[in-house]
Amino acid sequence: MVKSLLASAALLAASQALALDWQRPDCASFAQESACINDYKNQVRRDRQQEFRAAGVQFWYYERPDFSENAKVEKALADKLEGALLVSFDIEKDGSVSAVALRDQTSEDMLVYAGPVLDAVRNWQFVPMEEAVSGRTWLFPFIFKTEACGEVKDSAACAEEENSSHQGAISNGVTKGAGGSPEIYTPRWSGPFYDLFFIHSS
Amino acid sequence: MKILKISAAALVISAVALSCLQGVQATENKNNQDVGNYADSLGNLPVPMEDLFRPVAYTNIRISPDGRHFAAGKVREDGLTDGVIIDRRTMEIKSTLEMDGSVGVSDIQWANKERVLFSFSMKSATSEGAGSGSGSIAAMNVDGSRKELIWTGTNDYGGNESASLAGKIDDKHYRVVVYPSGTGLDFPLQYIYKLNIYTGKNTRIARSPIRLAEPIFNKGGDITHWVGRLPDSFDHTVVATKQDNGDWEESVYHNAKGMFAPVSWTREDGFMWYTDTIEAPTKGLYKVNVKTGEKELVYRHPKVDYDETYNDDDGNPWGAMINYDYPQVVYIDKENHYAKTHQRLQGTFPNKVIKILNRTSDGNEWVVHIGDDRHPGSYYVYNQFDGALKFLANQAEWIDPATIPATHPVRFNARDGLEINGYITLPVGKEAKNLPLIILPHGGPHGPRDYWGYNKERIVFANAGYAVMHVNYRGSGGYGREFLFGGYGKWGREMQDDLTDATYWAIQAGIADPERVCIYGASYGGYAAMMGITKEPDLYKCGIGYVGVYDLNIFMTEGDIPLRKAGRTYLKAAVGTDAEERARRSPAANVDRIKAPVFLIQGQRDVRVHWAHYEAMRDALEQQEHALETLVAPRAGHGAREEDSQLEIYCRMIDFFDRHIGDREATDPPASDCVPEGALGLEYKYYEGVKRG
Repeated sequence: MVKSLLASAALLAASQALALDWQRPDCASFAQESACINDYKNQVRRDRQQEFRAAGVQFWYYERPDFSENAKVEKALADKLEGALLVSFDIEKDGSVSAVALRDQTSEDMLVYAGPVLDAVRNWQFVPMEEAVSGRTWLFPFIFKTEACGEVKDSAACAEEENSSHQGAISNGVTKGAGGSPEIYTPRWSGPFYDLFFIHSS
Repeated sequence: MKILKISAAALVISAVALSCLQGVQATENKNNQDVGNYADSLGNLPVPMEDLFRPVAYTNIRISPDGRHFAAGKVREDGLTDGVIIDRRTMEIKSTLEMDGSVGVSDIQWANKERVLFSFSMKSATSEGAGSGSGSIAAMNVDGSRKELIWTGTNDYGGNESASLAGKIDDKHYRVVVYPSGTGLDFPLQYIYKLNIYTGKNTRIARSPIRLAEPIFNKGGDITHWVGRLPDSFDHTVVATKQDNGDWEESVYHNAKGMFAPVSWTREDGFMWYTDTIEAPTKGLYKVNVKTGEKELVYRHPKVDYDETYNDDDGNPWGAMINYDYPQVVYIDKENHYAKTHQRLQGTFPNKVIKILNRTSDGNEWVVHIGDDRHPGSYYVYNQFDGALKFLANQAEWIDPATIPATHPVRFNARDGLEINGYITLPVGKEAKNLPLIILPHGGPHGPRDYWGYNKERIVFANAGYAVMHVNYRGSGGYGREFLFGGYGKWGREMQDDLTDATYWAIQAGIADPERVCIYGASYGGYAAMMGITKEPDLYKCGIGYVGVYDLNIFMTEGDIPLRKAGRTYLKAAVGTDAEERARRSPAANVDRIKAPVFLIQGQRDVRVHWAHYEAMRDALEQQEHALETLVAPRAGHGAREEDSQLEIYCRMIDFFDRHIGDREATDPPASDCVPEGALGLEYKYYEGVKRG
């Protein structure tokens, strides 16, 4: 769905005619809105992976827009202003980004986000390639959870929730083998005396 | 005890990229090797000992929530681990938290996009996870500003209480769990503090209603359960559940019969994750409807406990880490986006352990660690938009996996039919036939186990030409409660026979030369080694005990275990209540049965296994005029942690094996070059015994 959206968006951008046709994912069939949004995010990720593979493009540094310290943007975020921006750019042989331009938006209101978005894209760094790639587009959707967690991007509360959901969320707390691969077994935290009689010999 | 100082002028801006630093270090190390003649007499080891004992170059690489920085532990030449912040655009070190004294960074967490929290452990135990933590916490902003020691203990219980980070409250505050250093007979209670990560200001917010407990928080940050222990028992689980009136209702489980304990709340209201060992001996993960009590089994492995589970962005478990034979991530939900992604990475790196360490707050980028049995591992960054892993740092560039002995899982049945799992590590370039073998039982013994993976100790011996066998004898953890509790009271009996049977398995498989088998272990492993040569005097040609228990009656009264009530009940369960029977199961009381030459290694400050064990064993062997060698580390506790001490200890062990089951003669003099250059050296003694040779 997103792929076709992107394709049509690119087409539209080329003709410079209509506003970007983007819609919030339909969450009616999901028990929880967050699950719906995550499902949408995963769909976007899979589609972009296909695009990137086809183009032989790989990120080295992907920068996220910095929306802090900008009163107008902060107000838009607080108001949960939803929509999308479509940005186009070229990738040079050395992986740097050039010709960054805003191609389209779902509404004029969305332009408030454009500055930080374009700044971020200009800082993107790709893995150097044999040939330059021109005319890539990137859709920035702005979706806000209507429930508890608030803004999707960069919210502390959400970040914590997401991080904690992944870092060995369910661990049995057992201290793992002596001298094993250091990163492989790290207990989240464990009290003293779990090892009533236990030596790490190395 | 002041153990940490963040130096005032610690901001070091380096213009050298991460990969360049690795290159420089590797070259320097090479030069160092050519200087001394340490361990020359061990012959031409395929991989120099110093390379195997050298601490990894980088630890704990973690991406910031906004993806703009990495935080990492960077190991210095003196072995301490500094905390560094790396700018992702330039890959240059932007700021450094420099360590001083004897601690190094052992854990790193991003509190928010500008502030990083560092936990510490003592030097030489700094290579991630293992080792005793110092319990203090420091914090630093990405630009190197606001360096603060935010936790050094409280004054509430005498100071220096160690603390562990236990979740974020908001951008400025974390919860820490504090373990009072009390010396009471009972297990201690746990305290939760709210800690300001900028100022270090802290307030006590909760005390556990039960002993040695872990809190479980709900979405709102309230503690709804504590999972802990009885004050005086090592083998009970207590679940305290908060009632509407504020009281705690306690359920007590005897672990030998199984327990049913909450793990965390699910994202969905009204449901919790539980671990169960009642329905079956291995750990099962259940989703429980808290109101109705209805429970649904999500995952259980028939043979082993799951070690941890992995959740997606919505908190749904998609995978579980299983350590049966090789480590394996089992996909609980095969259709899950994360499961599919992990499966694809696993396809790219077959036979390796792939671990997602942390993610940006939007979930788009992950730091991934990939390692196996022949290399400590490397760090990669994964971007969900291109589906590609990009290499970040090699933890040990000087380790060439092709030169490192491989480890293979093995299984056999003990004499009573019980399935025993183990791992055999084989020297590189030698046929797995008629090899000299070292049986290497782990410490513990009740609960710990050995795993497949990069294990320095077995690699060190296999590098010297020996097959090495780790055995998860009965009583080991990970194989379910029946296997675990089947070991209590079986010291020197079935637990020992499992090691004997492992030896016969290796001989019958043709891997081991029956005339060249030794047994070595540390702690309980030291007991098992000495008990092995006592109980099977004709099977083993030599034995090494390292910080071992040698007299079960001394064990009942000395060391730190009997200091708590739970320790006393543990001792009775582990080694029995009959003093005469304990004497029969004690190597020190039965040295007359021993034929094999003995090498004893002891830390003089060991509080877990008291010095008295070593003295009893040494004196008994001396009185028998037995072939004996001893090595004492005056500053070491329960195992030596200093790198120089380890180099000397393992050099002397290899030298000992070489003289008894290796290429040299038993009558040859011991090596004289085991003390690394610049080291003080430990106290080595060679006793002239009548049974030598």
